[in-house]
Amino acid sequence: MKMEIRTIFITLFIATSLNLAAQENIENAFEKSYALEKQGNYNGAINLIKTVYSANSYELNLRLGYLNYEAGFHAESMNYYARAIVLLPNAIEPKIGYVYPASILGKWDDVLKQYLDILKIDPQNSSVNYKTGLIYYNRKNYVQAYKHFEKVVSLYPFDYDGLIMFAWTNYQIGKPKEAKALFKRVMLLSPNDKSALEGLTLIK
Amino acid sequence: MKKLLLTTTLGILTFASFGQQKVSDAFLDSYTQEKSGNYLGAAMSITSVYNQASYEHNLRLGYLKYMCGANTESITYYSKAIELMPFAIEPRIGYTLPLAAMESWTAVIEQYITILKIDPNNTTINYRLGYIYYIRRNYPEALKYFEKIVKLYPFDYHGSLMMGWTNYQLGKIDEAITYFNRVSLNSPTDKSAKEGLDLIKGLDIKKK
Repeated sequence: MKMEIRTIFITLFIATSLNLAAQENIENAFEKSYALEKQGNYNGAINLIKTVYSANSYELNLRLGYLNYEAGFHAESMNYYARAIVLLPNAIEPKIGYVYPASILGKWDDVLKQYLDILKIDPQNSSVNYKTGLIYYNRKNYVQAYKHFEKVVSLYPFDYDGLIMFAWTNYQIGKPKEAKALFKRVMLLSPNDKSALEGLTLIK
Repeated sequence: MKKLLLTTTLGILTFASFGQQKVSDAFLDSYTQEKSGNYLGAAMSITSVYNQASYEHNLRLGYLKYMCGANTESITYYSKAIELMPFAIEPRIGYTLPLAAMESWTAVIEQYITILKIDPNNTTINYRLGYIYYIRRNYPEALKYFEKIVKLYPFDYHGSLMMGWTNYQLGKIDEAITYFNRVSLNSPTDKSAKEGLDLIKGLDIKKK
């Protein structure tokens, strides 16, 4: 029995020491990777994180997603962000990261999917509603764009970006009265605003 | 008869358009004065065209009065803006600024809770609310709000650090270690995380 307790104690001690050593190694790698990142040496920072990489670590995948994006390795960046998403599917942080390389690669369907997934978790997210609305607007899907810009404006009725896009969307779907009122509101926020003036001239 | 109708309509439109121009000019003037730090003058520009049914006028006056230090007046204007657009969180966020300056923390909490009914995952508000509860040593409530932040942003410095401390205060040592360690990855040599980990080590030594 005494022997057993001793073995358990030694095993626990070794396991704790190993954990501590592993945590320290990872911390060192992160610390050095921040220093290299500051110098613009993204490749060096990536290589450092890779020395302690574990596919099951959310933090390591998130960091590699970001560093690969900064280094211009967009496909790799998407892979790492995708792993972080699998590991913590209810987090919106890696989904927001994912859209950066995806948009550079012009993968707008992937970007839109990610945004819609974020809105399932956080339906009132103003920044994501705005960006989603913008994608639909650029695709001339004004009905969908309207839904998202409306959400932004309903939370922040005097926000420039939301207002100007909501005004243009109203104009595009043939609601000139609403568009006019919104363009005028933009003019209060940003007097002599070129885009709002253009909208008002078109309505006249 | 037709001519009379047309003249009347034209008259109303011209008057409305004149009114809109006057309001636009007042806003422009108030922005210029604000830039030069003259908040009182900026507020007076808006007051000269003030319409109590206008959300924009009340919101702007709420902000400018706050910047002047006229907190009670600021609260009045923000309240009107809230009444006019009860589902907007913009005036509610503004409203909390003079309240906080007056240290009316209970009213701030009420407003934050209302904002979270409209926008439950608002990270800034969840953080601020959690922080107020933490300062009040109401750790179970604080945990609820900080937890929301790290669920959405697991590698966020502020959320993780406060999760570390709140778990520590609640006696959830394993969880506290996890969060303090995560902070150490985000911000190596972080003083607060190190302090937390050292305190936990101290607990271990005491136990032995």
